[in-house]
Amino acid sequence: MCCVAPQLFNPLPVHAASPATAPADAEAMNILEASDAIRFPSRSFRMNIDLFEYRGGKQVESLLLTVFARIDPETRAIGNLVRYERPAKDSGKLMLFHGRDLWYYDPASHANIRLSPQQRLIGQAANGDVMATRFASDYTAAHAGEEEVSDGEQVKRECVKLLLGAATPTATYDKIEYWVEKGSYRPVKAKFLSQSGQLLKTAYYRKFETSLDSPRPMEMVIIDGLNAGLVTIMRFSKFSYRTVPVSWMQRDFLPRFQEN
Amino acid sequence: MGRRYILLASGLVVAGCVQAQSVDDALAIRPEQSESNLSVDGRTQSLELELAGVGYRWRPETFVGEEPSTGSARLSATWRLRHPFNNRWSLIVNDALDIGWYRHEKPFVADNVRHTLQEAYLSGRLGGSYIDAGRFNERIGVAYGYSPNDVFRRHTIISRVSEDPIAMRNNRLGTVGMRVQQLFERGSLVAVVAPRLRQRASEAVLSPYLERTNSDWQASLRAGVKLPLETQLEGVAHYRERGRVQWGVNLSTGLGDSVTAYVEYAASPDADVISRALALDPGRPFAQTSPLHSHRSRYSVGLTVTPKPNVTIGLEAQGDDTALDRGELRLLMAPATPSQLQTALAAASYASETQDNLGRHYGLLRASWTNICGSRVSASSFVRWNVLDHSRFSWLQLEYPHASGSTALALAHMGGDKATEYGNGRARVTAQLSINWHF
Repeated sequence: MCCVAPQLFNPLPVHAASPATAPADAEAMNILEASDAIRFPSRSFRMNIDLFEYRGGKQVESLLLTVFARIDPETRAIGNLVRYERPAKDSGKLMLFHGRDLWYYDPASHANIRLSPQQRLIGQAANGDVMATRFASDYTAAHAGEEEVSDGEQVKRECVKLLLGAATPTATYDKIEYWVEKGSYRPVKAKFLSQSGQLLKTAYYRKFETSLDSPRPMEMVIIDGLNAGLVTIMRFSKFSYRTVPVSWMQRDFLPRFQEN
Repeated sequence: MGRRYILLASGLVVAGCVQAQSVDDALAIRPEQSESNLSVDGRTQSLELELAGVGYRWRPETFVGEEPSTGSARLSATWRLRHPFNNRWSLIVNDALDIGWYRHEKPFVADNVRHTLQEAYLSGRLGGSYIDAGRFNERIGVAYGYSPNDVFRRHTIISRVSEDPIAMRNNRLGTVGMRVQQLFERGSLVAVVAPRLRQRASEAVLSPYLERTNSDWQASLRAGVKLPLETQLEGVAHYRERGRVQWGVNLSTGLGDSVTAYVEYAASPDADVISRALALDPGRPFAQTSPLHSHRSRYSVGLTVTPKPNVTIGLEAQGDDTALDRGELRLLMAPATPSQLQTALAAASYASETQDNLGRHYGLLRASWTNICGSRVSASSFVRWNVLDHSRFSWLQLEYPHASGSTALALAHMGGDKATEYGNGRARVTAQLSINWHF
């Protein structure tokens, strides 16, 4: 097993890093880009996320979300508009994530509420977990050796281990230890860490199926860093390419949202 | 000894909160059902039922001879419909009915049925513009508690089922009119025209209460723009019959990962709150009839901080130059003659109806804590403090979700000396237990 070299993590304060200061290496960034292309499509798309929350092995909550991800053709920046479909009491509510601009819209009160990126809206999953994101846009990557690790199906995989450090203010986590399968670049496992190195959560990717021309993980299992009894499973489905206009990425559009 | 008990109690709490299992157990979990196969065609319809029991503890020193406590029960039904006719036009309806039962009353009296037709409008697109026609809720502003830009709020609460500002915005009457919105890449322009439809008070139990929202001609124009650094700016102009024009602006911004800030300002030619209350015409009780004054300011400035993902704390300072200063408020709350008492009751009732302020300065502290200690219980609370007379209104709600709704316990407390705004309230403590279901 390769030792984690602490100096590879960005030593700067949270979100103060930049690619110039982080010891990223080109090969690691290439692997990260290839893995990103598997996690999510590379142009604007729509998908559903079933989100199941478990405590002590018992399901306590479930949500169905529709995500409209807009990928800027020039900057590759991703904006996300998320609509609650189920449960009935939340149906029609919207969340807009555009950079660090985060808005919540409740159609019952017609209230647009600005949220901070830190505010959690959905179970144990961070807001950033339900968004389509590109790690290569938000993190610098450094190669940290090769390891055999168990994936979400508990099958051993030969992996490249990458150490990611937050490179932009929009990064959800400060540091990530990320395992990518050698050769296929499939994401296998990720450990999300705080600035001090505390484990926040561990994610496993599983159920790979071909969708929009690429094999993609259709499930992500998120396990709380302190209590493995707190588990969130995200099930992705119904990927489709879709035009998402830039005018959708603003607060004043939210009351007008209608998919068709 | 005490420390041992604290450690033991802490251990029990931690044990109660944490149900550790292994990663293998976690990975063995396979969700069975998936709802993503349900068709999502933009059509939504829901019925929300709420059954609530309310208990009051009265102020015995103020109301000698009355019972020190009493109670009531309420059944509320809210029907929400969004029905798209095609990919351009939809019908939106939000309608609520509240039935109340009070102690010592017969099981059913018509006065205790309250109807709130919140919204019923057609929404669609014509060319590049969005158009709404009918009764819609035009909510303007960014503040949590007092929102001076929210000009369409006045006289819109028929059934005050909660003191939570968010719930009050949910349960209010919309205004009948036409709204046109043009969206741009980084902003939008919204124009609203609302005609005068009725001025006399309705007597019918199931009235749509058009006089409350459409007793004067009104028009508004607002322009919003998204600025760099996660900042949103909006300017508002609102016209009401008899030459009243209110100008307003609001701005909100994000400050790092866990802080948001906002400011809202409005200037209008309104007379002071007592003059407005006393100028009401019984023949058209919801029309603006007080004389014009030079422009006066109203504002709200707030900050929210999220120290942990499930904890949010907010602070808001509220000011209203049309409200009463310290001396005027003291005089109003300690009436010495029947005529002064009448004035005090009229001003308090007017301020409550219009969601305006009696005092000139308030502070509001709020907090919300979801999934307390890993449980499914969430708490939200606020304290509104009258800076001038030091009275305060405190509200706490604990909520536990269940499969198709939630159960909530809300406690409210009015504190302060007898001759103060909140200390003068009839109900000192109010408790409400409610269960609601969504279908």
